[in-house]
Amino acid sequence: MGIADGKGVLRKIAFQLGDTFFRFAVNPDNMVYANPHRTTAVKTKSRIIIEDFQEDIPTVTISGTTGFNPTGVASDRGIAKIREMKNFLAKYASMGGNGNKSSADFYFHDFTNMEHYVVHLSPEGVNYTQDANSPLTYRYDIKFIILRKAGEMDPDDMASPEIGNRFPTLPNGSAVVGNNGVGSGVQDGSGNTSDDTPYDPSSGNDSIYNKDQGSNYVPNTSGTAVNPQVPSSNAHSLGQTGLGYALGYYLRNNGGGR
Amino acid sequence: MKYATDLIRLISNVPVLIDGTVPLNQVEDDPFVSILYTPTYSLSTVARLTQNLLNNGKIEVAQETLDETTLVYKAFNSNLASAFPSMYTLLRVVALESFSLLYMIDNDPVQLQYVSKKDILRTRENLNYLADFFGTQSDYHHFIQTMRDMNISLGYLQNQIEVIMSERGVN
Repeated sequence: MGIADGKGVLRKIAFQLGDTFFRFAVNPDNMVYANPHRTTAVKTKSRIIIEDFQEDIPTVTISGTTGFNPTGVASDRGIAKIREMKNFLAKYASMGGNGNKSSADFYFHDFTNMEHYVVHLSPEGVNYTQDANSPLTYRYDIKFIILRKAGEMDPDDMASPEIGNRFPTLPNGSAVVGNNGVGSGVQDGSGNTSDDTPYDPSSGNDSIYNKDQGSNYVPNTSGTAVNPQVPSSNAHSLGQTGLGYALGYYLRNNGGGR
Repeated sequence: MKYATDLIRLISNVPVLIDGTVPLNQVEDDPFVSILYTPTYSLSTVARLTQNLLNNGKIEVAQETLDETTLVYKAFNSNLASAFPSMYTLLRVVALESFSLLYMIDNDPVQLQYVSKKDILRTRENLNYLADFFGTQSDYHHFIQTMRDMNISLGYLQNQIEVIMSERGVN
């Protein structure tokens, strides 16, 4: 049974799924918290190079027996307790599937160390063992992956709203030539800022096309119309360069081609 | 001539069956249905030829950073591959088709005899389908501009294959 002083009983750990608890009648024999670290140590000629990627997946492993008849209460008997544990874990395991874990959190309470975690069954899962050396008891061995502390929020529930339009169709004032964002609100002598000037469609403002995305494709810079239907070298070279730049076949910084 | 690593990474290993169709994972949820465009999950002859070159390591790569406006950059800097795998596959098909066309024009114009106007029209239809889909997802709006540019460019090329061949001295 749990560690008892005759009055109270110290129960070290418990599982919780929703409002349902699984309490141990006998504390586990063994409990291991593992916190591996994502470090790569590379041995070079002159020194050791460390590459650090912070924490790996922490785990907690518990193992022990449910005892034979630890408290004298029928429901605390070893066989009843192991059945209860099997049902409890099987119920949780069946709630996931199709790539998703259960939406209900599984809590691992470690009362003595005052640590409480949201956990999930690790790939190794649970082992239940019966052994001829101790025919009346059952052993269990459970490995959990620690997802987060119980008090922390589920990352799926956190929102990171994006306000505004990241890819505006029309130019914003900051990208106009000669007004590179800094001081874009500065007023001139008549109290106007450079942003005040409305776009005049008749002015032939060629920077309106492909604004803020870099000028990706200019069909024809010479001013003469090219008819793509008519066979001409002009037409296919426009198509070739346009397609090459849009795809990444040509590099923009050295004028195409390498 | 060398090509950017990312570009080659995107177009390499596009899964293809022996008849040229690109297999899809059928488990995926409802596919996007465009009112105007129907996608074709298949590769043209010239794309298959380019795949052979890629598989045999005949195409050289260079470690170059691509411009943010390019399709390749956008494909690798979005979650399209994990969120919409079939769309991502189609995007790779389109990229491979476009690359094949440009590669053959530059390096082996004789192979252009296998390019038909229908192949280009099919790629354009796929591009339009993708652009239509991207229009429904605000995260992918920035793709559309590149899609449109590619569509226009392919439009310029589709009637010019014979001109290119005769210019390159291939009859």
